[in-house]
Amino acid sequence: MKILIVGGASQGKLEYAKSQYALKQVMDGGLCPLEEAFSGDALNRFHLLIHRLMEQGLEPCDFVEHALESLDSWVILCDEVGSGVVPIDAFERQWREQVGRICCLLARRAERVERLCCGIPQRLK
Amino acid sequence: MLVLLYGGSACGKSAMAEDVCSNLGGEVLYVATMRPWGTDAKERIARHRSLRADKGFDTLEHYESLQSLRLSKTYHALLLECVGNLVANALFEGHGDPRLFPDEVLAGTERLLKQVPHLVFVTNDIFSDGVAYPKETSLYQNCIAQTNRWLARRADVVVEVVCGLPIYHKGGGLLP
Repeated sequence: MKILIVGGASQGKLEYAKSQYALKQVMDGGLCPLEEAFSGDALNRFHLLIHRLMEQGLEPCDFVEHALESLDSWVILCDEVGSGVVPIDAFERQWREQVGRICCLLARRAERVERLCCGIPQRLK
Repeated sequence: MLVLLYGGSACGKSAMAEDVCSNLGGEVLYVATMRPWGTDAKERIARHRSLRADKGFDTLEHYESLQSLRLSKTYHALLLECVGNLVANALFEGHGDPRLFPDEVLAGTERLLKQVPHLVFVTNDIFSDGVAYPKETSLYQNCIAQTNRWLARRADVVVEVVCGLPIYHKGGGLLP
């Protein structure tokens, strides 16, 4: 099953994912080695993985597409980051843009998309 | 019944909370938790006061823990605005310990639910701008988020407000 879980920061995405799906190994997009990001049962903090890929000068969309090609199922958790004022810093601006665009792409590929609000899930797809 | 209204700034959550209380009928107590510091706060308070002016609500300014809130008479509904300020007051003014969240707010809420049939709490969405804030600010965000999640679990009705319109996450049919 391909599952995307989104929501604002600290809305309870990880807790929810763990309660719903059998997740033994959850990778942390903010800390894990880049090449191991998709090697667990789920990838948490996907928005931070995008940031790190961009810091390394990698094209995040290509990286993610390539990584997902060989996977039949994935669970990706990502903060919604697009509702603030447009950042002055060009890098942060591009990051926010990439996170939004790639999430749209993931949502198209996903069989299930859920959004957490105050810990309550809402199925969007 | 506990009703939680959630949304970004100026989304119309206060007006909706007031309507909910009016529709519930009976005496309403409005509990204001924002300290009137600075012109911004004063202007916001003045705006909210004028919005409530004809609704006949009693107003109580309360900046301390919910546990210390005392009611002078019997009310049918209590509107608390807002959870964000309640958390900020406790965190930044030293009468709360971040480790106590959200237990302290929840205990206060349970206490109030025994005294007032309906509680309507307004809370904030400050979680979707993608900004990495300094430690103190992200601690504040976290405390609000945690409190929101606990309140949402306890609540009978959870509404996200967008452009003054409700998105019901829980208990949509329960409001009058």
